[in-house]
Amino acid sequence: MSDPTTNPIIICRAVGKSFAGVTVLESVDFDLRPGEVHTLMGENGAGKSTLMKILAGVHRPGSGELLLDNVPVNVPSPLAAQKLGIALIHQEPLSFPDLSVAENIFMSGGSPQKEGKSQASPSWFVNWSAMYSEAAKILESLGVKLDPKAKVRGLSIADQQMVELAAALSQKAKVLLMDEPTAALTPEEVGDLFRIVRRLRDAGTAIVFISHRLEEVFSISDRITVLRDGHCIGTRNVKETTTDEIIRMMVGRELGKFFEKPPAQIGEPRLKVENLSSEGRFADITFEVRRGEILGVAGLVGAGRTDVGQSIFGIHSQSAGKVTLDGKPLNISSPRQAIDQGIAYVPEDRAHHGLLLPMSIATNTSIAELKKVSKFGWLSRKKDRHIAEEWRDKLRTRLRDVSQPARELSGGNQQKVVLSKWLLTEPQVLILDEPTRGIDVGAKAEVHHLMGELARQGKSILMISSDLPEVLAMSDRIIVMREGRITGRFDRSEATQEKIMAAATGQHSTLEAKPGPSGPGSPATPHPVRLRKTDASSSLLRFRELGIALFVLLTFFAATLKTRSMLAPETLSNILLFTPIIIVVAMGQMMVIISRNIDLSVGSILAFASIATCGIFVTHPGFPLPLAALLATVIGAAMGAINGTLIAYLRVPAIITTLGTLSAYRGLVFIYSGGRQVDSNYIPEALIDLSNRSAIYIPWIIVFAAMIAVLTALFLRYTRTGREIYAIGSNPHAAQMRGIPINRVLLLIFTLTGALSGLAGIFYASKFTFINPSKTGVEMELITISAAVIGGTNVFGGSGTVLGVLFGCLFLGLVNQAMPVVGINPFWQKAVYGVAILAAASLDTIIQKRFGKSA
Amino acid sequence: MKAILRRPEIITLLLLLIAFGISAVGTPSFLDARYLLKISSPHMEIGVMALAMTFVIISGNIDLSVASGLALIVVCSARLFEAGVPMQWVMVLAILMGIILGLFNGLLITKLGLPSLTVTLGTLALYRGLAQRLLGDRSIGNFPSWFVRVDNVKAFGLIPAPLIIFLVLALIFGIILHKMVFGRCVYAIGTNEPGARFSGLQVDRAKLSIFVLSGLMMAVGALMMMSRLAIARFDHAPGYELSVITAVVLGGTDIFGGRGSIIGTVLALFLLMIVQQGMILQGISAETQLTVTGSLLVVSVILANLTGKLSTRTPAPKRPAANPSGGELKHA
Repeated sequence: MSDPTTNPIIICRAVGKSFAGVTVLESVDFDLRPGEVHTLMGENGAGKSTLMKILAGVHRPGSGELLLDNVPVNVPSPLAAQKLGIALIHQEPLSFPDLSVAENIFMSGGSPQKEGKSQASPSWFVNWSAMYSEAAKILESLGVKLDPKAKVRGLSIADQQMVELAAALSQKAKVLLMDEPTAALTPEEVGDLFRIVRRLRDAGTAIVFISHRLEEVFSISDRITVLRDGHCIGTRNVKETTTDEIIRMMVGRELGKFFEKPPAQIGEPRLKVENLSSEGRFADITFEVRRGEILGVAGLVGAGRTDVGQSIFGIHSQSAGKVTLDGKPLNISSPRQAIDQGIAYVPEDRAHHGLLLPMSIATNTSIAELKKVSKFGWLSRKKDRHIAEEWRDKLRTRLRDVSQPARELSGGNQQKVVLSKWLLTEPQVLILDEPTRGIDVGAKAEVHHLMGELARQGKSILMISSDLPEVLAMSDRIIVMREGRITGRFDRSEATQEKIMAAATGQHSTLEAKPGPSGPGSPATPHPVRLRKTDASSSLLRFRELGIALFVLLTFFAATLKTRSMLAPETLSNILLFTPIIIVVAMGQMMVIISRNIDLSVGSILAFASIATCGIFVTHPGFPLPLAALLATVIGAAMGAINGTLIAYLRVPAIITTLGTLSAYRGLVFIYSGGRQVDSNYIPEALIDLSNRSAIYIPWIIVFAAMIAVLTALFLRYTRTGREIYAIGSNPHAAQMRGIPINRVLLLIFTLTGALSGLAGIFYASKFTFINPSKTGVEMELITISAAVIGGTNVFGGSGTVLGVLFGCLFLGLVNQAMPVVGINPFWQKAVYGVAILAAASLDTIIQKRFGKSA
Repeated sequence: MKAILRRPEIITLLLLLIAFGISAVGTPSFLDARYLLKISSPHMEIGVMALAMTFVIISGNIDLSVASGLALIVVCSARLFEAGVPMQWVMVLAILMGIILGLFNGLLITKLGLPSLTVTLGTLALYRGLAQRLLGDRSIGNFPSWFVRVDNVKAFGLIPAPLIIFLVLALIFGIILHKMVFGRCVYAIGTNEPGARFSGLQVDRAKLSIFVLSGLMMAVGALMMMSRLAIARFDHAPGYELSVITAVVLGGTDIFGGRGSIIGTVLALFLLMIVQQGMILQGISAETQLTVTGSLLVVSVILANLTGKLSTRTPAPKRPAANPSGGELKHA
């Protein structure tokens, strides 16, 4: 428990902040002591998150100062905050889905070798075994059963939060900032989280906590500070205050009790759902909603409630069951059909499903009912605006103008726009999924009032909500779901929080997060074991690589059977010699794709480096070969660095930058060469020999390419920068928040890709013994991207292996050289490339859909 | 006024004026409208495909297969003609083929849920490969005289037919994109695809239509090119997919979708045309021009980034202090 006499670890003195002229925080004082949970409360837009983000280094204070241990500090970045021992736990965990739990714990931009303690935090190189064992230790100390080697993709939000907590602990954070950590958790998970939070607090960690749920706040906090409109209203000790006082402080006036649904004429059953099932989501769902009735659907997150709602609305397919509307059977397979039948669905995820945030409020209002603002497909902007303004007035949405992007509104007002959009469709049945999640007390009451009004008009409402007081106050009847089935049905009169929770959890338990005394003395409840089965996708990836390898071999043998000349040394060397050129460039391309970028300029870089270097052979026939190779690499690196600078520092998207430099560099090739080809008699024998023989019977360029592949694999697997490439591709936003030097890494990989393309230019000269300004390196970008895609690299970044890409290169090389040998018209070649890309991509998608359902 | 200045096309327009100014100063004959009109025809083949590409990119997708598709349509049409199908029918079949190629892309994208980048990278190779297989190194010519040299057909003895075709199509595409329900769907999908789906928009159908539109423009481009060159080869329009995308992006369309306009694409196309022709008149070789057009693309995006930063964003409205709806809570 916190001791009022301890010195605060953090003091905010008169902190102010404004964005684009709007004051968000004004002269806020706040302090945080070691060993306390200090909660920030306030309506949405009160400035809680901004204050927290200032502490975490995401924003910088506009005025005032921060003191850490009584010393003024500057927190310019999330990384700086980390170094000061301040860690931010996000509401939606910021994790890297393609990386393992252990890597997620230790991925950070800090330089831990300075403190020189943890072997697990990579300095330059990654020590995997140390990382796994240390991760296991930290997870165990948290009491979380998670496999450190499992991928984070597919973990529940609660588990991901635990991983983030573990990450904070691994950095020995003294201050934990938790922004609505419980918003998406089940009561059970909240209990787990609070148990850990209390333990950390007792160990002396200072914790800032944000939540809208009063019960939770009173259960976990030592002190509460209330913000309103950017001002600090006051700080209270939990023991000396009441929920009423806190609410009064938050809204600036007395609030009555929860709004309750006013009586409405309950009529005939309207929506009837019978034995509805959907495989893997829910089963045997039967209920009916009558006219004027609100049916509450309670249950834990993940109980399948949202799936039922979305199924009725036509987002998911149903495998069995019957849905009838006014006695008429429905067969809905798309939201459009549902809307046409008079069903509306207000989704829980407002930002992704509810609104088109960058588009105007007017557009958002009419988007589900475009026929109201159009005639024969012609839109009328006037009608659009008129309707939006009408609904703005009806729902009292606070906005500047209906042409404003929806993004600029607060949560509550955004929800009103969503509601207008659906009311415009004149629905008879409304499915409201968490209608008041994340909106402030005032807006919440307005939404409840509106729901009551809609019921009075005779509409039928299915309300999915995790907010128990809301369910109890608003519903006429309540059904409870657990693990995809209905486990309880209650009338308004008989329902209580306890009964609902018992049905939702399948046992007679009491809420852990209940107001009352708590702390080290609270009984140690046995926490549920959530052991995840190990992720199957990594083994599938191996399987996939094996598959391509087999395919390459099969093609080769088929070719050999057809004609013996396949095995002729000349053919073999042809096959093998085109491949190294692809491999060298593809290694770079793969890294770029893993980082969620693309490099279209590789072929032009190859050509320029090649022609510039070989041009020297023309003028200086005795120019030493190693120096020439070095020169080509450096030229390539310089061109790659230009790409990297434009992308990382001037924020030009990679696809545009390299589309531009694809042309620009190719133009340079012509300018430099005057359009003339460098012929074989100028290429030194020694260079040509690289493709012909070596000490070990394998041509040198194959040896070099193999070495580069091995080095790339080692780089990606065992260096910190290598892992950072995966992290950036897996979740760029999280990478930024963790302080990974994204710009530096991007500059590096584009430079590396340029260097590799330059080096490949030398290989090209060796193999083909001529450099032609309009032929050399043309379509290299397509070949290498194809190799990466065939090799299983995810075009959306985050995953890919050297082995897979190697097989991809081999396949392309084989097709390129083997087809003429076996007597297939070489004109088929490109078509085969195309089919291979499509087949590989389709296969990946099918595998992913079947096995790895991503979150 | 401020709103106009903030539009992304304004940079394209400025660059267009600058390019025109420089070219005119360097070569006075540049001011001769007849000259500019005369050289416009080859650019219009890129132009018609860029119109559809504008839809594709605004919807958050990309179509890399346009040039290969064009080549495949050219080759198939020529083979049909060679086999004795009358040219009128060949033209109809060419349009049909464009629809089929677009449909193939679109179905792979919507039914299998594959990213358009991967699908059209695959069909880029596939369509060109099939074209190569069907015709090999041969070329087919001897088309009927009414079909060839469409660029010599001039309205008022001045404006070449390809330019008119392009402008008419640009008008139609502009109306569809900016004035019709379908256009709004395109923007909505590019802004937030799941959000569009949850709003009852028929996302898959719209995406399919967009790719069919792209295929249709491949066919129009193919017929224009076949007529102008009076010859069919598999390697027509080499690497044109990049020129098409360049025109769209140079016109201020966001490569990540959700924003863009037809007028921007039209301006960018003329910008590219003037830059290239200006350089030709200065005696700069076609290949060297690549450096300039490539740099132009990058510079235009940097400029757009800069102006985006300079023009201050509209401030969000301040939340009202008290809760005006308080009164209604009392009767609870």
